[in-house]
Amino acid sequence: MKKFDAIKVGDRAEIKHLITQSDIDRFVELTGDDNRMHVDKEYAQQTAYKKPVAHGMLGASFISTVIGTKLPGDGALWFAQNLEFLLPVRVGDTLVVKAEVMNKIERTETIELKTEIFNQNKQKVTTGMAKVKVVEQKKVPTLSKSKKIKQHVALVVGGTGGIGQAACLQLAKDGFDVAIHYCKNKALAEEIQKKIVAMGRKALLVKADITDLHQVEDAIVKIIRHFHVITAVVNCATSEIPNIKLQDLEWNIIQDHLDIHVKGFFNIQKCVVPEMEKRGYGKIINMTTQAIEKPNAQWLHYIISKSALHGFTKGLAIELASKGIRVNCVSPGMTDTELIANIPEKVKLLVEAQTPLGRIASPEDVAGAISFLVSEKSDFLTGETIRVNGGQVML
Amino acid sequence: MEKKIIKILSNVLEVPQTDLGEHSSQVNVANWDSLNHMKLVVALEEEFGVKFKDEDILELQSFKLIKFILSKYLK
Repeated sequence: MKKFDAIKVGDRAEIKHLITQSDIDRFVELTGDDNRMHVDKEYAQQTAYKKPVAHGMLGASFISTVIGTKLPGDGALWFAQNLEFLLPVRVGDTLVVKAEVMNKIERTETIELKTEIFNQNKQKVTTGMAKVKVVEQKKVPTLSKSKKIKQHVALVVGGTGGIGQAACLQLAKDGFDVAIHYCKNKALAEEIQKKIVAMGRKALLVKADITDLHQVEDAIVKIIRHFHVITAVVNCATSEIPNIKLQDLEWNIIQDHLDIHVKGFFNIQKCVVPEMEKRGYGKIINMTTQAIEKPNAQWLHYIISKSALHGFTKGLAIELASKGIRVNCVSPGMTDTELIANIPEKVKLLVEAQTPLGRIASPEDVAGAISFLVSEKSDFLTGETIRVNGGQVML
Repeated sequence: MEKKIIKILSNVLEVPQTDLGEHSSQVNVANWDSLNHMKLVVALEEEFGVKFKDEDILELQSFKLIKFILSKYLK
């Protein structure tokens, strides 16, 4: 179906953006508009606005983002826009930029969109109408069936963690192009990206706080626009695991872990599953932990959240089986990553002593199980858990 | 120290020294049961002239742990 035909009156899209001082500085640098109302606190203090006001066109530029990346997305030719700036926008405001299709003009294959920007207090700060021509991509000759390239693209969530890094590299070795998700450590993500590119695969960095659905949506849109497909998701996201005695455990600590492991995965699957459904195939792999089956003292917060993720995996496996999407877990024992850097040497030796294979797991051991689960060799597995623990837990 | 530990493990557990090494532990050495564990503790105490605390006795579960815990006593 042509892209224009798929668009309906009433279709909506939105993005969210926090206005920062860096945005203002970069806008000044780019456009040269250093009007003191925007950049000089003392000057602004002497006006009715009291504080510097962000450039109106800075906020409005995000209308371009909605149109260019979401509605209609690639192929959008934005040729007209009127704007009315209703309220000032300042550093620290979170803008929600919305677009809605109001009209379709078949003859010219153009659409008219209502474009509105709201601040965090739901006040409308900008309004206007846009006109966009939907340009179709020229058809390229189809490859014959025997030459058809089957593209494998994996999203590794938490790609800069110990297991995440090993997963990224193993997947690249297995022929996957990799979207490396990170939250804070961009420098490390870039290092991993370089290694993957050196292996002859493509790698894309995506930054997101996975507990924020908007950020996850933006990340998935970026991956789809870049690679056109996601065939596997490997969820390695986790946070530090401090030892906390029961009497010191507060609900907010458990909530933080639930947010990362359960809400984070909820947001990811919500955005990725529709993409996998389109192709009737997908692999989703969650990292759980041996501590679910062989609990450690003082890890209640971690065990609760990972147990919930384990249940989530099995429930989702049932929901998605008929759609060709397999959902499985890898459950590592103690693994030699930064996460265990603060665990005393004696505890590590005790774990080794209780492990029939005589050592703790390496990130590459875990990546090996991931490699199997993302491959077609495991196509008849779903709702399953592969334990990578050297024989410590056998069920 | 390592050679002495291997010799004691071999004598007490009646396992050839060639079958023992740094990865030897209670889970992969056949005769390392609770009775032999106590014999092992006594033999180690005699050989190295130390007296293990109760909590350390429970943790002498592998060659590496024996080495790690003994080194605290021999400092």
